Amino acid sequence: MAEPRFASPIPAAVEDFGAVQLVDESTRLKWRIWDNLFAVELGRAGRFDSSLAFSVSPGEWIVLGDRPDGGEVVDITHVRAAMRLTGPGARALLERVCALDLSDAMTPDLAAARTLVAGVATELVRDDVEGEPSYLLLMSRSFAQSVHERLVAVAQRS
Amino acid sequence: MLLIVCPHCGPRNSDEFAFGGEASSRPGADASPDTWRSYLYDRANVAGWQTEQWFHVAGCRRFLNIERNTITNEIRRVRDASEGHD
Amino acid sequence: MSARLPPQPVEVIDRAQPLDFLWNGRWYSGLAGDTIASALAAAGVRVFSRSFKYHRPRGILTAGFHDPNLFVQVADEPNVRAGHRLLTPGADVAPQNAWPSLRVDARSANQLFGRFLSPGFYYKTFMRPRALRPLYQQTLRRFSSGGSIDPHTPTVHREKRFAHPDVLVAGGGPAGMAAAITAARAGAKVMLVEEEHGLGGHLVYGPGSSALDELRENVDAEPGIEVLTNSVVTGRYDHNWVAVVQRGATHHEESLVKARAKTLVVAAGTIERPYVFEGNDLPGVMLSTAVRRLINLWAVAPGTRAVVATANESGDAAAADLARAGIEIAEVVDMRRADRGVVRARGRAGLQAVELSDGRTINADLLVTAVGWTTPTSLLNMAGDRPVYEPRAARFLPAALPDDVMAAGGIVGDGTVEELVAHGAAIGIEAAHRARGRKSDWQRSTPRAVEPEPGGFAPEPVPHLPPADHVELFLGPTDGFVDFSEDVRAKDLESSAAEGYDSIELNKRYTTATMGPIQGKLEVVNAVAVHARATNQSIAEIGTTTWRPPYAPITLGALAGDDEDPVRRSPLSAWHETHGASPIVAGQWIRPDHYGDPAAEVRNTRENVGIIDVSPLGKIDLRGRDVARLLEFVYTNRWARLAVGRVRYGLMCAEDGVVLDDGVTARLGDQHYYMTTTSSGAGRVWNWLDEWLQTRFRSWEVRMTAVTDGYAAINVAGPKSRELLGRLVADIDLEPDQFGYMHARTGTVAVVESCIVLRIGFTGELSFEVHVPAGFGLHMWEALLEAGSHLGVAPFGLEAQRIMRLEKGHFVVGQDTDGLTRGHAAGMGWAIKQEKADFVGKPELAWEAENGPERRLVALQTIDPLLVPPEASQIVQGDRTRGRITSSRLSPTLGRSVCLGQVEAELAIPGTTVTIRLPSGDIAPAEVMEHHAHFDIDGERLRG
Ligand SMILES: [Zn+2]
Repeated sequence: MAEPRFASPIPAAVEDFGAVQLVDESTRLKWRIWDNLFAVELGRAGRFDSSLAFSVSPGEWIVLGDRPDGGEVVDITHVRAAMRLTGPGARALLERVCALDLSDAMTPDLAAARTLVAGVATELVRDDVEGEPSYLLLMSRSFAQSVHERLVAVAQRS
Repeated sequence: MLLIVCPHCGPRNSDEFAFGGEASSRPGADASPDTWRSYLYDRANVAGWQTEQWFHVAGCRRFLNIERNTITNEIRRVRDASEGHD
Repeated sequence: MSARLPPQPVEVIDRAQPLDFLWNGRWYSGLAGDTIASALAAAGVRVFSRSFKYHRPRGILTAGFHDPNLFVQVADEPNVRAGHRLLTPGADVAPQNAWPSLRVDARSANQLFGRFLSPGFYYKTFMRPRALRPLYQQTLRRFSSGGSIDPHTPTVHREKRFAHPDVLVAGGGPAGMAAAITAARAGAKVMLVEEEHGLGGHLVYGPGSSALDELRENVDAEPGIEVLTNSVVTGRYDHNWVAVVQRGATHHEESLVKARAKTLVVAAGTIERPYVFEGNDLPGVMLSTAVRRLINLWAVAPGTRAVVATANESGDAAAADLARAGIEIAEVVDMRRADRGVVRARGRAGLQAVELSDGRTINADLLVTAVGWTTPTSLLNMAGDRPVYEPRAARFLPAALPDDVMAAGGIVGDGTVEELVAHGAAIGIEAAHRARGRKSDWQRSTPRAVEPEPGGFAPEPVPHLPPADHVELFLGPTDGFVDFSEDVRAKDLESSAAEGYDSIELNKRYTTATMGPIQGKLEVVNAVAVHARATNQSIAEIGTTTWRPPYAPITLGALAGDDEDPVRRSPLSAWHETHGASPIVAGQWIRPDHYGDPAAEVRNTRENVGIIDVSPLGKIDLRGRDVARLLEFVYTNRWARLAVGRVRYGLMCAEDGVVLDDGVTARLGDQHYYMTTTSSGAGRVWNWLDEWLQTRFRSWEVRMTAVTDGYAAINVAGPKSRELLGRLVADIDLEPDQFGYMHARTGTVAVVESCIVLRIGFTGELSFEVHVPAGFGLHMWEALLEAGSHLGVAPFGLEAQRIMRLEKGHFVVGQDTDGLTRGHAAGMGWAIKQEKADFVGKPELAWEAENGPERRLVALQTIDPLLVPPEASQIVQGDRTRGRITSSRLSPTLGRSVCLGQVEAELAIPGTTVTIRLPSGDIAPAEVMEHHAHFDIDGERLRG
C-alpha cells in the first residue's frame, strides 16, 4: 500500500501579495503540554532550536517542532492548521479581520494570544522573521480553508 | 461592544466571550427541592452591580467572574472563576 | 441663467476643469470642486426636491451634508446628499422626491392630500380599514419616495477594519486640529475624523487665514495623526467603542472603521439653526452659513436681492460676503433688537417677498437667517452626558462627561480662532495623557504586552471657553416648519401636545419631528422650544431628546462589510465536491447530503457496505486520574467500571434534566478516554466539561483536548464491513470474539498509524468507525474505496444515515428532542442511574421519573404504509394538539414510512392509534409502536 500522504487543509502553499506573504505551515508537528518545559510565560512565546513554544491559557502550552520530552503530551498536529503572514503589510491585513491591538506595545515580537481572526478562534503568535513582522496563526483545521480564502480575498482587494 | 479586561489575555471585545448569567453556586445533590428550583430558575435580575459568569471562549477559555453594573455596563472587577466569588 | 460669481479668494473650484453632468435628464456643466448642489445652484437651479408630506418645493437650506432638502438619486444610488457629494464627470443626477414633479404647483398636491396629513397621521389615517393597507402603502410609497434601488447593482465588497487609536478626534475644525496636533506631539496615536472633504471647519469659508494654513501644515507634519476626511464618527458605544464611517475610500463606497479609542475628543463645533416662521421652507430662504459657503467656496450667488435677518456675527459676515460679491442687499434686519423681526416669507415656487415686523414687505429672492446655534452633542449623549440648556447663550452645553470622553472648541463655547485653538490644544494634551494612563493600565494587565513606560502626568489645565451671549430666537410670530425632512410644523407639535403627547419623547414620536434623515441636527432645539411653549415649561426643564447612534446614516453595505460566516470542511470535503455530492450546511459544516440517490445508498449499505464521512462528530481526548469521575458526573449513566478497550453510549442532560447531548465514549487506556459528541453539540459539550472542571472540580486531574478536527471519522457500515476493513488492518484482529460490539481498538489502518477504531453502529449494521489523523483522512477514504471495490463499497451521505438511524429508532438531539424534553421523556430511562450519588440533572430527573413525563418519544407507523407525514405534523385529538411527528422517512428497507414523534403520555401506550393532521388539513391514523426500532429490533445485525 502507498505511503500515506499528509494533506493540508490550506489550498495553496504560498500566496505572495508583495507587501505580505501567506505561507502554509500546517505540516509542522504540534503538541499540547501542561508543564512549563520551556519556561515560557502566559501570553509569550519562545524560540528553542527548531521549536517554538507559547502559552495562551494559564497552565498550558503549545509547542511547534519536535515532540517535547516529559509530562503529558497530546499530539495536535492534525487538530490545528497553521499559516504565517509575513511582510510590511501583514499587520494591516490582520487588522482587517482581527480586533486585537497589534501595536508593538501590546503585541511585540514573541507575544502570543488566542483571539478571533476572520471570526474563527485562532492562536496568534508574533514571530518576526529577520526583523520583518510575521504572525503565525493556528486554527482548527476545519476552518483553515475558510480563513485562508478570506485572507486572500482581503489581501487581493487591499 | 463591551471591553472586558481578561486577567489572562488583557482587554478584549465582548464578542470573544460567552455570557453565563448571574454567578451562582450549585447546591448539593441532597439539597431540598426548593433550593434546587431556586438555583435552576430564580434570578435576582438586579439593576446595578452584579457578579456574573463569562467564558472567554475565543481567548484563554477560562471561566471568569465579572462584576458589572447592569445599568451603566461599567466593569469593576474580573477574576478567574477558580478564585471563587463572594 | 448662470449664478457663478467671478473668482473668490478661498474658492475650492477649479475653473479650468469643467464637468458635464445630467440633472433630471438634461445636461448641465459644473466645475471640479463643486458639490452637486453648488453646480446646480451655479446653473440657476433653485428647486431641488419636493417635501416629504406636502410636496412643497424645496431648495438649498444649509448647502452641506445635513441639508434636508438636497437628497438626490445618482445613477443607482439613492439618498445622495447633494450638498456634500462632489460632482463627478457624467454623473446622472435626478430628483428623487419630486412626485408629481418639481414644477407642478405645490398647492395642488396639498389640496389633494392635506387632509391625511395631521400629526400622527401614520397612526390614524392609514390603519383602517385593514383591507386598504396595501393601497395606502402603494400610495405612500409614491408620495414619499426615498429614491429607488436597482436590484441589478453589482455586488461590492466594502472594507471594514479595526483601529486602536489613543485619541480619536471627532471634528476637524480649528479646535479638533489643534487637539490632534498636541495629542500627537504628546506621543498619542491619533485618528482625526472630519465630515467635510477637507480640514478646517468654519475657517474654510472665512477669509483666507494663516491660522488655518498653519494648522493644516502641522497636522500634515505629524506622522502620528491619521486623517480621515469625508468621514464621520457615527456612534460611541460602551467603553469607547467608536464607529467611524469612512466615505470615498474606494469610489463613493462607505467603509466602517471599528475603533476602540482610549480617549474620544468631540470637537463637533456648532450647527446653525433655522428660524420658524411662515414660509421658512421656501427656496431662497437660507442659513447664513449656507450663503457663506456658496459664495466663498464655490463662487455661487445665492440670490439677486437679499434680506439678511441677523442676530450674530455669522449673519453679519454673510451680509458682508453678499455685499462683496455685488449682490443687492435690500434690508438687514437686526434680530438682536426686540422690535425687529421677520414675520413671514412669501412666494410660490420660491421666495418673492419678506414681511417684516415693522409692517413693511420687501421684495427679495433671498432671505438669510442667522438666529443661533445648535450644539451637536450626539456623541456626548451617547457617552452618558445630559447636556444642559444655557438660556444666556441660547444653546445646550456639555455637562458631565466620563473620563474617556472630552469636548473641545465650539461645542463647549465661543472665542477667537486663537482661543478655540488654545482650548483644543489643551484638551489634546489632556486627552493624550488620559490615553497614556489607560494604555499603561492595559499593558500592565496584558501578560503579552511590553512594560509600560513609568511616570504619570499632572492634569493639563484647560482654558475656560465660555459661550458668547446670544439672544434666544427660535419661533417667529407665524407658523412654520420645524422639521424640514418630515414636514412637521410648529402647530403640529402644538396640537400633538394638546392631544396629550405632553412629553417631548412622545411628541417627537407622534409627529415624527427629529426622526427623519437629518435626525434632529437642525430641528431638535426648535422642537423643544415649541413643546416648551405648548406645555408651559422652559427649554431647560424639558432638556434635549435622546440622541442615539447613528449620528449620520450608514449604508447597509458598510455595516455588512466583507464579513462572511466561516464554514468548516472535513478533510474529505474536496473529494465529496468532485464526486457529485449534494452539499448541505449542517451547523457550520458543509456536508454531503447524498451522492445522487439516498435510497440506493441505504440499500447498498444494508446489503453490501457503505462508508460515510462523519468527521464533524465532536471528539474530546480526556486524560488523567479523574476522568471517570467527570464522566460519572456529566453523563446520566454509569462509567466507573468501563474496561479498557470498551465503548459505552452516554446521555448528557442539563441541570434542568433536559437532554443536552449524547454520544459514545471509549476507554483507550487506564487514564485515557476518547469521548464523541453530536456534531452540532461538540462545542457545547467541550465548554460544558470545562465549566465543571474550572468552577467546581478544580482539584480534579483531567486534561482535556478538543480533537474534533484532528481526526477524519469514517463509518464503515454493512454486512461486508468486516471483510473490507480486514483488507486494511494488520495489527487489529477484527474477529467477533476479539473485537466485539461496543469495543475500541487503536492501531494501524491502511498504513496509517494511531488510528482509533470503534465498533459501534448508528445505522444498525455491523459497523466500524475509523478515526484517522485528519491529514491522512483522504488517504484512508480512497484506500477504503479501492479495497472495497469488489465488495460493492459506495459512499453514503447524511440523508441515507438519517433514514437508517430512523429505521433503527435512534433519536437525534434537537430533532426528536427539544428544549423541554427531559431524559425520561426521550425514552432514555434505562440510561439514567438515579442511584448514583450525584450527576448533572439528577434532582429534576428524579422528579420527572416520579411524576412520569408529560410527553414521550415513541415510534409511529402510519396505517397507510406509503404516507410519509411531514416532520412537525401535529398529532391531534379533536381540537387538541397532543403531539407531533419529529422525524419521518420512507424506509427503503421496509418499503413503508417510519416515524418518531412526541406524544402525550396517555397516548404513548403501544398499540394506541393516534391521528396525524397533515399540513393539507387531511388526517391520517398511525399506530404507536412498542419499540423505537422499526427494523432489526433485537439488533442481530449490528452485533454480528
Ligand atoms: Zn482570557
